[in-house]
Amino acid sequence: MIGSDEKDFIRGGFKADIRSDGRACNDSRPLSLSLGDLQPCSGSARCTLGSTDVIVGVKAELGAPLPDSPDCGGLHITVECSPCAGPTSQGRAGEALSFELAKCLERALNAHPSGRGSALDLRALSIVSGRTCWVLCIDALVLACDGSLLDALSIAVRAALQNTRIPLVEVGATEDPDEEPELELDDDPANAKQVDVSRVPIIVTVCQMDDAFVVDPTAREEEAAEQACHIAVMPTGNVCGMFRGSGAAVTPFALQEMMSLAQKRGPLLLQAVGKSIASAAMSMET
Amino acid sequence: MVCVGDRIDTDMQEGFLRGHGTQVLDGQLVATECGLVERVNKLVSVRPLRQRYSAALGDIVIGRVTEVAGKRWRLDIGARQEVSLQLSSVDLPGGAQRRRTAEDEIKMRTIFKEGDLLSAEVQSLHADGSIALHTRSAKYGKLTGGDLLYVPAALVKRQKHHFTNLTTMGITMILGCNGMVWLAPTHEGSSAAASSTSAPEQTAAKAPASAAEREAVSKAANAVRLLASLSMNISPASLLNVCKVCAERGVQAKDMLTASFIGAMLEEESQQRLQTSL
Amino acid sequence: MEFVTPEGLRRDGRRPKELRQLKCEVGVFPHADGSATFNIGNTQVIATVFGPRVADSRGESSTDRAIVKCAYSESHFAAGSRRQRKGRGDRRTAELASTVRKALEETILVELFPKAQIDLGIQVLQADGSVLAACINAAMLAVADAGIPMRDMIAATTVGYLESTPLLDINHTERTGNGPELLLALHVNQDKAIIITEEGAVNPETLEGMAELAEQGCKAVGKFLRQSLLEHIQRHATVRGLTVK
Repeated sequence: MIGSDEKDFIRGGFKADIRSDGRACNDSRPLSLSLGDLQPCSGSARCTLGSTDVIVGVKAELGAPLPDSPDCGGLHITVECSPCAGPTSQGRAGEALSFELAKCLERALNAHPSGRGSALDLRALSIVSGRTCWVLCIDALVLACDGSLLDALSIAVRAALQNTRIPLVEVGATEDPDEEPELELDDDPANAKQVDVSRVPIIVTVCQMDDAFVVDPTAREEEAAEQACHIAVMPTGNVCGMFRGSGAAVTPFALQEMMSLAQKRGPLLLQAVGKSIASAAMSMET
Repeated sequence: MVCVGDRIDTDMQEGFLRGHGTQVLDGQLVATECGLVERVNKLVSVRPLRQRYSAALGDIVIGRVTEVAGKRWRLDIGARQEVSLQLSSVDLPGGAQRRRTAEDEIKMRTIFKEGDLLSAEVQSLHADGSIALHTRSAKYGKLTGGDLLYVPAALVKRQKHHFTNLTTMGITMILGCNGMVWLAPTHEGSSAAASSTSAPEQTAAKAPASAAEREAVSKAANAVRLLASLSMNISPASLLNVCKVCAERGVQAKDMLTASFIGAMLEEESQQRLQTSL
Repeated sequence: MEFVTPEGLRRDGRRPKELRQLKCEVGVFPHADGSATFNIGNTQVIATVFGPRVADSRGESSTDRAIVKCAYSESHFAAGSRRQRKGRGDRRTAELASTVRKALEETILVELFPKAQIDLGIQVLQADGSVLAACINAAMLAVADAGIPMRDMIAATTVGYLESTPLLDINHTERTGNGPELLLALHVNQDKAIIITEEGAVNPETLEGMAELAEQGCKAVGKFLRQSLLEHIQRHATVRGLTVK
């Protein structure tokens, strides 16, 4: 809950480019990443963005491709709000939020600059055309919410995919084309495949109050702001998706502003993510 | 230091009075909380590190209005109990002592409406356990033009002055015993809060904070957040200390919550403790 | 599949009366009144507590004590094979939540908080056997962190029985042996069994053996929990400059 006077103070802060925690409108909160903590998963990542805390687990499972795309693997995304996030994150509201978050992530990952296909090369997941393929099950969990959930979730998803190792599969030869071929999974982690995340976008949340636009809002800032947009940005800086948050309609001008802001922030954020992943990997090796 | 279920040593004293955090089992005093044992004369109690705020008479608190109905406001102060502020416990325009009319009831929202923040004092604890607040003093009332922070209530010790002017920073701070902390630029000639006796025009006339004032407020706010994250006591002195270290190291407000500065603060703190103990 | 070798070693190299490695951390989420993580072997659980606070609904609240609620969730990625869950409302989840709730309700001094509500939140990150016991232990740590008074420390373990041997703290692989399983949640100082459930056919002597082993296990877990809580207090008391006598 937020009072009108508090909203005014926050509004003034956005205007003066000095937010409650001293950040400028363009600044993000400190980001930290931890990879590979979940044993049962093929890949995992935990991301904290300020006080927002999310964890993503990726499991590569054997499955069958869809009839109209026999050479493609599968992708499932679920998002859940943990009971740990607080009693308010439970019940119908929590479920509705989880559903929305999952939808946004799904749409962001299905985006491609050409407008076709997925941000992940699903053909690389195919094992036997029309019969067997890898299905990537991405399960995200929100542990603590302090705004910018989609930002933290998309970063964690990207990092978890980067951390994912898919076992090498040897397909046995068959004489009869209708016969089910034998599959042998290579246990050696050195032979495992990595997932190409070069086209995986991250989502940048931008809030608007009057003429001020702000990235990485806290929960309080989100509540105070009138409009919010979540913009999916590729590593190249291209926008590949846009979802409007709650609030009043956004003017075309505002949309432009938000998109250009997201385009500037996206690559910078990805750089920070890359650094985080690199340092996490190094500390694991030592 | 004890854990739940531990026996508390009472052999050294003749008798004991059971305080908070303890229970008596088979004549033995046993801890019901994990924390430090406190002995004041014969009263033995256990104080845990953290606990949801439990109001005590005379506590100064900050609260947010959640409901306006039937001659009283309901507030959220993060306490265990229900909290209310009676219409009769608020100073009204037109003089303090006059009977509340039906008109006053309708106009309640012009004084405090849903979402408003205010500072108040715990007036009494009702028989059913609920808390009654009052703002019958010039220093209490609606809070505007500043920033609100939430910290664990245990980190705010009951001290002499909960309203402080941090003159070096140009900020006024209110330390709510319930763990809600208010920071706002100091305004000339006015107290920390916009008094409820002042006419509405006066409150609106408060100038919006300047950029320099906002810088100061955000610095102070981050200092409080940092102290809270390190589980350190929050007081004007500890806040100013953090800001001092910040200035010495040339750290900007927005970088105060990074891992590197938090580490630097811990280092400073241990250095200072070492020096005072020598 | 052999679960216990003739030399008396289990598949993961443990002896029958041996617990897996215990790890925990108290106060992991500042936004909750109390929180903790509890790990036993590969089983990882996070618990949070919100409260005591004013009850959400007057109808549910009680005039002489606090009501305890428990929300339980097991991640999709928690088990070895990804579980296709029917949704939050399935019976198994409800039963698990109910058991944790009961265990803590009988431990917390609820009479001290009339009309209040205490919300427990349990999140299972990794499930490798003895999950319910881990949930109870994590919840207890979170409640202690929240400064909510309890009658005693509660500690829980699970005991299985395979190849004529009672096995303490069974993992997922050992559960696939489909032997009887006993869960014990104990008030460790007062020696009171709060939750004792047993599944699977078992004769009285075996059951007694399992219960005895469970009690030993609970005491060992209780010792670990106590040690961890004291260390946590020590660290924070030092930071706050409080003296410890």
